[in-house]
Amino acid sequence: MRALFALAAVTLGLTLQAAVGPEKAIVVIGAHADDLESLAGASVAKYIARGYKGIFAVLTTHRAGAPLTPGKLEGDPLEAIQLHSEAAIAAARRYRATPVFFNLHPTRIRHGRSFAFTGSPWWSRFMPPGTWDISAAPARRPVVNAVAALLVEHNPELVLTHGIGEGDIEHHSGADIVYRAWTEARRRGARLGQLWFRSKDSSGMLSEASFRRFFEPARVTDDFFALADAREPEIEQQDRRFGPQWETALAPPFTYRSSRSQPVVMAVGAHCDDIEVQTGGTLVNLLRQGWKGLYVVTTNNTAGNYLRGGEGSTFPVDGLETIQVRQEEGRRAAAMFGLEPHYLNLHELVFYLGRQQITMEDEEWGLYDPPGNGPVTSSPEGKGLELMTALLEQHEPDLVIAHLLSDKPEHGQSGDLVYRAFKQATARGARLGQLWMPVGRFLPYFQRVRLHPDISIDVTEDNRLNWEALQHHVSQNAAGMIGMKPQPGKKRYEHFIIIVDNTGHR
Amino acid sequence: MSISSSLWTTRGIGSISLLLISTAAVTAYEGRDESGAHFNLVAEWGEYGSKAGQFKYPCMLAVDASSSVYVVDQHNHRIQKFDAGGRFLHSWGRFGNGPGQFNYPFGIALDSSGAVYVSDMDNHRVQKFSPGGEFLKAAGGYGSESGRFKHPYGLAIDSRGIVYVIDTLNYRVQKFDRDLNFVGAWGSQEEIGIKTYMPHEIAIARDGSVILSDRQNHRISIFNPVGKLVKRFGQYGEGPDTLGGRFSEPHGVAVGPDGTIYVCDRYNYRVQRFNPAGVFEAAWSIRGPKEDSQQYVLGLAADAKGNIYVTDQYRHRVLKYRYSPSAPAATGFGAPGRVRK
Ligand SMILES: [Zn+2]
Repeated sequence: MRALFALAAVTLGLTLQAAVGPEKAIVVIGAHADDLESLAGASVAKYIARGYKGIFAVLTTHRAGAPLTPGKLEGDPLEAIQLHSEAAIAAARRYRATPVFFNLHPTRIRHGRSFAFTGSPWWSRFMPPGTWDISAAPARRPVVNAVAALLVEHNPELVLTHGIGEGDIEHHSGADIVYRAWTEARRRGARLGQLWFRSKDSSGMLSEASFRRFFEPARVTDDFFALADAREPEIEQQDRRFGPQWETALAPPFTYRSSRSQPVVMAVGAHCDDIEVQTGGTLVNLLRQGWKGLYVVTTNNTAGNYLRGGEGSTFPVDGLETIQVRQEEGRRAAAMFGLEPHYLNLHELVFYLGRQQITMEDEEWGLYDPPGNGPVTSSPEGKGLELMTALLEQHEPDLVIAHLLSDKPEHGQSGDLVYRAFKQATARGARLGQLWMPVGRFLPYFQRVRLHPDISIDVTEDNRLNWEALQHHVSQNAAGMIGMKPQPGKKRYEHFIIIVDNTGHR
Repeated sequence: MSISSSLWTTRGIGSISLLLISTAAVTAYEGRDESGAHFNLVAEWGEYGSKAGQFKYPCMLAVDASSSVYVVDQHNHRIQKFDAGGRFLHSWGRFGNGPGQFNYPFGIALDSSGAVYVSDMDNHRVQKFSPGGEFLKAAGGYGSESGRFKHPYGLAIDSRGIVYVIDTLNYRVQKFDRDLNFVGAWGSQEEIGIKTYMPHEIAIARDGSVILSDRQNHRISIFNPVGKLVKRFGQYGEGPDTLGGRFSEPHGVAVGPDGTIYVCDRYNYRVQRFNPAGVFEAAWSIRGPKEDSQQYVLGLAADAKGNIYVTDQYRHRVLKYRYSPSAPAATGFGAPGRVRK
């Protein structure tokens, strides 16, 4: 049973005084109560001193494993939730701002002295108050709509939040939600100014110079990038079906380990068809040149299997059967490349049971216990990081291609997971080459800065085999992806940015 | 859950326009329920859990000559055996890929000697056990060669001891002898007309033909033992006024001692009864304790006495019904069902 008590923002006390004329507002949205001050305390104080109203919005109910009283061991989750909301209220008071709560679940809760993930059996039994897991929430319309409603209500000139590519999964998921909500509020006609993402981060993808350079033109302060501005037209580079029509970027000389007779490429998709959709042409191209290929799928594929119903309708199929169908499709597709898929079997964030959608927050999630290795998350306690790291250590690929942060949550989380595993395996001595992410489709966060691919691969010759492989994903209506269909006389490229490059170190 | 709170009535077929009953061949098997028959709930058991007698998402079931009931307890990766009244007798199996272990079992069938055959879906094999659950043999393994499987679902055994297995993601039916030696197969997308649409369950008709629930085509297909399509009936229909003989994702199929065919009509929340020729006779709804709480029937079995057993997959229960052709039987299990309004 889903807790529905907090679909809308809950505004506590401290009602704003009615102002004369339109009042300017600044909204700070953090994943946790203690993010508010560290995110934007100084900026907020400055604006409030100039007569702006301040809103402090907290996305999650609490942060597991971070006692708000230093030195004190955190109590059970209920106590942590109480302390957390008190801390948010206190922080808001200090700045004369209004606290707002969205009550999303964190990705884990304390279970004795260890942690339990959302959706784990212990979590399902305890079922802490809250709504959706923050790492899955970017895909949940009600969550995005609730945050958008807050922005529509206050028309903030400035919205400050975390950065995408920050190290903490709850932080970068929060940034993702705010980005989507801001875009939605703009669509609804809110009078918005700018959206700022925090630029400081020392552990996540945002700390990579190669990733950060795209945002640099948008830097406004030492601490923030202005990701979006409602007063500017959006850069039109987001053709969702066909990808941007870019100038092609000539590949720089790519050096793989000279001691190796056969270089290795590892393509990683979240779902069974993602490799074909995003990087299949490049994979075929490299295999044709004699590379060894690895075809890796991070999730167990419990969702996205809609079989024919009657009268043109389709019906979603139960989770267990969907795993079987989609993984079998994946095997058939990979076989077209002469490969066998590696399935990490991390839980997709949703499955169906009796045609009903079940998410990690539903009791049935824990009861059904779909086969898998825990949620697809880059969180260090998850199994995914170790599984992915082990695979990288075993094969030491010269090239890894993974999802870009972020479109669907499973894609973004998989991209982040591969990034972290890549760093971890390298730190442990694995000899890895480069990490690429495709920029062909789905490009959020790039409304103000133009993204340029580092590498464009001409896959015109490779796309036919890739298209044939894609056709094996029958449950995904692959035949409908006509944008990918080879057309005589039409060139086709796949575009990538380089996130990590270890090849310079050799 | 008290049994008396279980509301079970046959579904009123209601105001179907006669225009719908066209001259198309398929509709010859359809109709209203005018049988006057009653289906009395005589026992039900099970709840969520992994103790003896509890289930996690039970799938198919089978009944032996003495009316003992074998249930595939899928998410507990085991088989449970009950007496005719639902008292737990014993169980076997746990998660794994060794002999006698399971990785999401689905289908079950018994041969004339009482041996038990189970489709071990995600181990891509069929296992054979003694009536007491002793492991005897396994056959299969992942692959598309003869005798291998890609996720086997339902299975059934004919009077000669031929084991028919739905090899779902190879889109075929495979045949084995009692010792699980491969003896033949039929099927391809074209031949059995299933495309990717997931046939689920299988039963043997009294004349030895093979009845297959072709789930996503919403119909029942009947083949002769070598795989020639003899007949098919059914089309998509969903909702409270759905005519008998139409289906929304049919799952379990079973054949009674007199050749009667029963079909789980999953998303109409009912079981339908057909005569041996496939002509619709009667239907009864499986409704939850509240009017809006429908139950998801999945597995189906019939015993020699004409009792019908149903698994309610998401309520983790087994329901046992007794068919009564005319007068309502007096039972302690709630109000008798009515076939017509
Ligand atoms: Zn995907």
